[in-house]
Amino acid sequence: MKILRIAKRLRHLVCLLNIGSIGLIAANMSAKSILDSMTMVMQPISSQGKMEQEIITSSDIKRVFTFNYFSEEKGKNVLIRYIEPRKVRHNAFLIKNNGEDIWVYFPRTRRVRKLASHAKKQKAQGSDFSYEDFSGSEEWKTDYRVKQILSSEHENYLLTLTPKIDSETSYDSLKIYVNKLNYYPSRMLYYQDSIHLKTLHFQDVQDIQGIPTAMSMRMENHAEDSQTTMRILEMEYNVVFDEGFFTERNLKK
Amino acid sequence: MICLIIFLIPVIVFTQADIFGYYESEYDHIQLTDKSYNFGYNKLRIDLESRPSDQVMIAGNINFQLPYGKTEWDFFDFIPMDTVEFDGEEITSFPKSFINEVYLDNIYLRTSFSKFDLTIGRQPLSLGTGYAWNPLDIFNYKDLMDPTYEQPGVNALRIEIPVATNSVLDIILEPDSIWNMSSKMIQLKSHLGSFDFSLNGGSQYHVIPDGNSHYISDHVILGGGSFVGEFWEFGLWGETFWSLDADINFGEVVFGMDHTFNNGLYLMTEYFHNSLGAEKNEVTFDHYLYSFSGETHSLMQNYIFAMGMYNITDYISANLISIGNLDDESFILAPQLNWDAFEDVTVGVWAGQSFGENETEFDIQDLAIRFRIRAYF
Repeated sequence: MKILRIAKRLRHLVCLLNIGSIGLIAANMSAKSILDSMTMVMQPISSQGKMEQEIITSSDIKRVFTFNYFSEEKGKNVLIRYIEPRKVRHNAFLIKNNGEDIWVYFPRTRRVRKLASHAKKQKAQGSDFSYEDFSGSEEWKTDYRVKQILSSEHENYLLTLTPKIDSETSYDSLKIYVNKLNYYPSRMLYYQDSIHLKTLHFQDVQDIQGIPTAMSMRMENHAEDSQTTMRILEMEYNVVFDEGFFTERNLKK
Repeated sequence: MICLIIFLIPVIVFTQADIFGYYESEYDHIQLTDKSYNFGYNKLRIDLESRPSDQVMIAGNINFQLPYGKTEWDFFDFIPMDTVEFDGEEITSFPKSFINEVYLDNIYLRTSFSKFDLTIGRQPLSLGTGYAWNPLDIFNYKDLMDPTYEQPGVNALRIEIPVATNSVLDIILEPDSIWNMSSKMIQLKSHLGSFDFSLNGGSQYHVIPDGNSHYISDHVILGGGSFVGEFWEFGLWGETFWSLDADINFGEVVFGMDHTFNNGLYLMTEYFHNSLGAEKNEVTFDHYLYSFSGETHSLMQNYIFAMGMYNITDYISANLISIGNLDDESFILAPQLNWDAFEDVTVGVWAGQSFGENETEFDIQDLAIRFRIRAYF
């Protein structure tokens, strides 16, 4: 009888575990589909635009950069060409394979230099955005495990992303608040060495060619008490680029 | 030159060329073994750029450079020799003057056809993957204390032809009075994994060793290549250019690596070998002369360049550069502070302290200080 009771309890426990597992899988599936929807919404297949980047340092010094931005394959390949200030005029970056390959072009010497990929973690032109922040978010799906956790905000889902074993990522974890209505992110929290390093706020979401677009993105760097705001001045989606647009040849033009 | 500028002004106005450039002022103090000098310059560079169509770009720049302080130099201040025999005569001085200059550094046209890009005129050329040295760059000579400073323009014809995916065939011709004396370079540049690489061939009227610690000039055919990429979070690069003539075997090779730590500290080092340089204890006046003129890329054969860089604040970076001559074991330590004072104004304060035994390459100079301000417009 005792053995029977133990067996019943075990069966009950196994059932509970199964239900739990199914629930867990369902939550994970849901998290993945939220992430899929979010990356689909926030990363159109191709785009070109003009952006302004305002950096405010911890000592309250303000710098403004303006650049042309071109991207294809959902941000896998990005070309940035600086317009202002004069010091960096015509400087250009070609970022390919989600930040794995970065080339920088200096117009005064007409020199193209390939940066090692560890440079992708560094600040782009002193801003709070790193080079890889300019790239697409497709690698989030391959490099990170995603889970949905309870959000205290009624209008947002909350996803946590933690790196998969053996994947090389710049952040320990990410928390992303995703709007339940349009799947556009509201904000992203970046963690490094268990410290909340940066927060990216997506503001003034407008509809451009049927695609929700944050006209302003503000990156707060909590470690350095600085912030960078990226404003979209012009934007066009579903652009068909010439073959060879995202190449070193075009970088020098 | 004044006529040229008078001619250019209406051209600029009517073509609505884009005008930009910078003002630069530099002050230098140099302390030699037994004397010291102050010198510097004020420079105005006006860049002009016009794009009459998407396929055509015309660009150029006019430079006004006004030196001040010491403008008459004696080469003998910088070599450990008092008297040498030169062209059959004993000489004790070798003067060089710097005067006010107005010059067109670059003036070129770049046009893009469907199958290739063509650039013709006096243009900036920059070849190779090295930072302090570029064996492949047979057109330029770098200043070790300031390797990223813009190079003088080169009168050349350049054709860049995309071949296959991600590969470019680059052909450069720098014409001279006769074909044999013209410099030619052909380069095939491509990618393999995370590495970029190039295969190069060229010919140049170049100084070659005469077998008696002196140089002569002759037509030389060179071959080489370069690579740049990453291995285990370290950036790696290298390049070489070597004479293909078995009888006049000489060439250069450079290897470098760098790493940026998560806290932003950047470390870089480069090793350079130049077989045209003098061997230890065999330095002659010729070696100094050709090295100073840039015809050989170094005085001796083996060098190391190391740099550490850290951003103290968002707009102030501190660099420590070390340049070492591994043959005579002299070296320079050069701390630098660079400040982005305003959006378009940069300020740099650099120092250089030499170390080494008497009559070594870097021992000649004791201490150097440089202040530079540049404002872009």
